[in-house]
Order: sequence, then C-alpha cells, then structure tokens
Amino acid sequence: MTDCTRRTFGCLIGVGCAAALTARVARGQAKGRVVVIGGGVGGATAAKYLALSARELEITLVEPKPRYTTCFFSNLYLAGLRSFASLTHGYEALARQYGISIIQDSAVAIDPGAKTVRLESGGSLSYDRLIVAPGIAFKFDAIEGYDEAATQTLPHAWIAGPQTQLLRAQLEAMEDGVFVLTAPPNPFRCPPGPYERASLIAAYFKRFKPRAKILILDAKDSFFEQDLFQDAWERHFPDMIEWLPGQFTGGIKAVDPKTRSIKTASDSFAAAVANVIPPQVAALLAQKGGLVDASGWCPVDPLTFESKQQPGIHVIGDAAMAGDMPKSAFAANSQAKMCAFAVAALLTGSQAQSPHLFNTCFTFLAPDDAVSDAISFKPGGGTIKIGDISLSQVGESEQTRREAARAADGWYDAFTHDVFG
Amino acid sequence: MSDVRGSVHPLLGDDRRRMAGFCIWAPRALVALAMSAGMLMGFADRSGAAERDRGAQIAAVCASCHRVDGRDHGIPSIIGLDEATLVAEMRAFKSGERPSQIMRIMSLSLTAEDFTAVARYLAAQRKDTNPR
Repeated sequence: MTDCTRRTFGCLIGVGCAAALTARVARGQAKGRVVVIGGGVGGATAAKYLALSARELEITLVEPKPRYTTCFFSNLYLAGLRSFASLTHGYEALARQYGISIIQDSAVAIDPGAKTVRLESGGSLSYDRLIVAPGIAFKFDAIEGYDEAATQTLPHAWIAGPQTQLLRAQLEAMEDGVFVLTAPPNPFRCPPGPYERASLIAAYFKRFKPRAKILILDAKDSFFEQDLFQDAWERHFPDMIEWLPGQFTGGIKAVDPKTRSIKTASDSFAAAVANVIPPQVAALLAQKGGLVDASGWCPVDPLTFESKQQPGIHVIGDAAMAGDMPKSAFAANSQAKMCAFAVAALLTGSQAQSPHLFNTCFTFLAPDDAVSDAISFKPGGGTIKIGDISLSQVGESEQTRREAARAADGWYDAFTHDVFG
Repeated sequence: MSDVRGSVHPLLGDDRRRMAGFCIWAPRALVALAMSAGMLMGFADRSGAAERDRGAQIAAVCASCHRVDGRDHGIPSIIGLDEATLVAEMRAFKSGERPSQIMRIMSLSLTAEDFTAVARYLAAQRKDTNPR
C-alpha cells in the first residue's frame, strides 16, 4: 500500500501520472510474476498485453539494448527512403503507461527447476511463468570464412542496428560493380525480406548508380512470391537484378572477407558490396535453455506457446517453431497476444478465448509498388495450420500497388505503436 | 500531461480507464481509494466479462494495424464508430462486397458472435478514450 500511495502522489504532482494508472500491485500481493526475455516485437507485445489483461501480475521485461531497431522496414532505410531514427523505438511507454519493469541486462541462463533467470550482471529473477522471445542466431559455421569478424566487412544486416547502418554506408560508398546478396535456406526470418531488399536497393541504384548490378545467390531453388518479384524486377529494373537458384550454383560454400568474394560450389563472385544473410537458428539463450529440438528451433504448444520441452516456459516469435506461421514481426506480435492471454488465464483464472492468429505482410517491390498479403492460422493436430490466405497477384493495377505502399507506412506507425506505444 | 486521457489505452479494463479520470481530477485520498479497490479486480473478474474479454481479445488483433487511440496515420481509425456500423463493415468485408485483401482474411476468421463482441467492445471505447 505504501508503494501505491507514493506513486499516486507522483501522479498528483504531475509526474508519472500514467504510471500511477497501471501501478502494479505491491510486492507480495501479486498473483504471479512473469518474466519476459527479449524486447523485440514478440517480447514487448507480450509484456504489454499481459499488463493490459491482468493487473495483478508483476511483469519484468529483460532486454540488453536501450532501444530497439525494427528489421522490418529497414530495407527502406537501406534504399535511402526512411531515416534510421524512424526505425528505432524505446521502452519508456511500456514502463510508464503499463507499469512494466524494464531491466536493461542480458539473460544468460534459465533454471527451469528453480524457476529463475540469471542475468549477465550477476542478478537473478524469479518467475512463475517465463516468456522467451530471443529472436534468431546465425549459423556461423555454415559458410566457410563467415564468422563474427567477417560481418564487419560483409554485413548480414538481418538483425537491425549497426549492421544495417554498415550496409547502408557501404552501398553509399559503392561505385560501379556488383552488389551480391546471399539468401538463406528455409526457415529464416522474413521470407520476402531478401528479395524486397534487392528490389529497394535496385531502386536506389537506378537513381544514383545506374551502372551497378545486383546478384542474388540463393541457397534455395524458389522463394516466396517469386512471380511477383520477378515481374516487378522486369518492369522496374530491367537487366539489373540476376537471381541464381541453389541448384544452379550448388549452394553458397565460402566467403573471403579480404577480397569480398563469395564462393559457390561451381564459381566465385567478386562483390563491390556483399550482404551475406546466413542460415539461421533460434537465439543462443533458447539453445542453452534446452528449448530447441534437433531442427534448431523451439517446438511449442499451438494454443499457449508453452515449450514442448520445458513446462512453464513459453516461446514466441522467430525462435518458435509455430507450424505454418512464418518468422515475421506480425506473426510474433500475433503470437505474443495469444500467449499473453493464455499466461494471464493460467495465473489469474481469467478466460483465454479461442486464439486468433494472423500474419499480414506489406512488401515493397519498388518505392511506389507494394503488395499486401494476409493469412489466418488455426491451431490443430498439435500444430498451427494455414486457415485462409490472400496473396497479391501479378497484374494488379498501379493504383492498387501505390495504395498498398501508402497503407504500408500507416501500418508501420500503427504496428509499432501497438508494440511499443 | 494535457493528453493523458487520450493516451490511456482503450484495451485497458474499465476500472483503469475510470481511474484515468480520477487521476487527473480527484483529490489524493480518492485516488488512493480508487486504486486500492481497482487493484483487486481485473476486468476479467467482473460480470459480463466473457463477452467483453472476447471483444477485447479480438480488438487486440485489430490493434496490430489500426491505432486504438483514435489517430489515423494511413490506416483508418476504428475508434469512434458505433456498433452497427462496425458490424456492417465487417460483414461487407467478409462477403467481399467491400474489397480488401487483409480485411477479408480477418473477417473470414470471425463468427457473427465475434463481430458483435468486438464491435460492442470498440464502440464502447469512444467516450472515455477519445474525448475530443
């Protein structure tokens, strides 16, 4: 009660009023303690919606970075169409308006028996339920020569932040030559992402470096919405983008950061700038916490997102293996809400309704040519399956595509507000 | 501070939104009282909670694309519409009468009861969250 009164006083003198609205219960009165690891889209959404649906929970969000940069829409930044600052979001609203404790630290270990999380600083947090949203890690052993140090010359730019800025700087400094992008095998974060990146960088080249070329070396033989991309590349950037499937090159085998060359089974390509997007697995904490299976990803219950390997721990976002759901920010946000409702129900006895899982994707084929897709998902048979699906088609009108590009900007604003605002 | 009421999240339970008002206008003692009472009841515990929870959880899906503070930065606001209008719109998306890739998929996944629950929920947000 003391704690409550003090916060209320803060409200009346005009400081932290919103915090008073949502001040969590005083210690010892909480119906449950939930720790959320990871302040990306999945973790931030889960923490916020837990706070919204169950006032009597004590919620802690653990994230080492003070601000989060979204990977989605970072291709617009790479093309010079959006500022870096516009992709960056803080945790102030989550703390102030929703009463979530934000701990700026790294979770280094989970003890599922003792129900504790150990922090890098040496501290430890106890939980009744743990939500893990750690994102992805790269399989650095998969491409010879591509290690942590090599990312400073051949950026992946697939976890947004300094890597994204490095790639942008390299593109700006680039004169003529070839920009090589290596696309990873399935499953990976953001299925249309590498191809949208090629499209938007092509738009940048067309305007500022018209003699530059783009070569996509793919680990796969086909990719998501390939017909839409290839149609757009012919219309907007004829002869600028070349895509080589894995079956043609034999796959990406090695890189040499010194010469900026990429070796496939059959050939070697010299790049002016190279963007190596490596094969991916669930982030290290999920691996160390015993949450991943042989696939490298975390199997989860399709209704509650509780780990199938560690009871009491829920996994959401890119690290989770959520049936047919893609690894995307929208999917992470959708999973986080369902997981938050399920965890609130488990701890407080409230009722979680039937889950509504979706993915929506705005993809830019060129700055004024975007498509929007939507998929609904249904839990069933121990996994999550596609319900209804609506994908854009080749041949849509210019107006439809321009409207989608405008809607995409509105979506980014609303979505990031939903996650961080 | 002037926009505090507008910044209160519409998906908050009624008790907390009422407290938003208290917080600004009521004397300190009243606020403390309201808070200690409010703390003991999450919105899920109140009567009529089932439909409201259903509406709130579906509205959470809407919030991934529509700002729920009534602002519109390119995707139309769904706050401030009455229940009948919202249900009619959802039906038109579901039948395909009103074309939209995304809204068609969203509406297809919802039942008539879901439409009513979410529309009633969203319509109720108008007065106290968007006092313009």
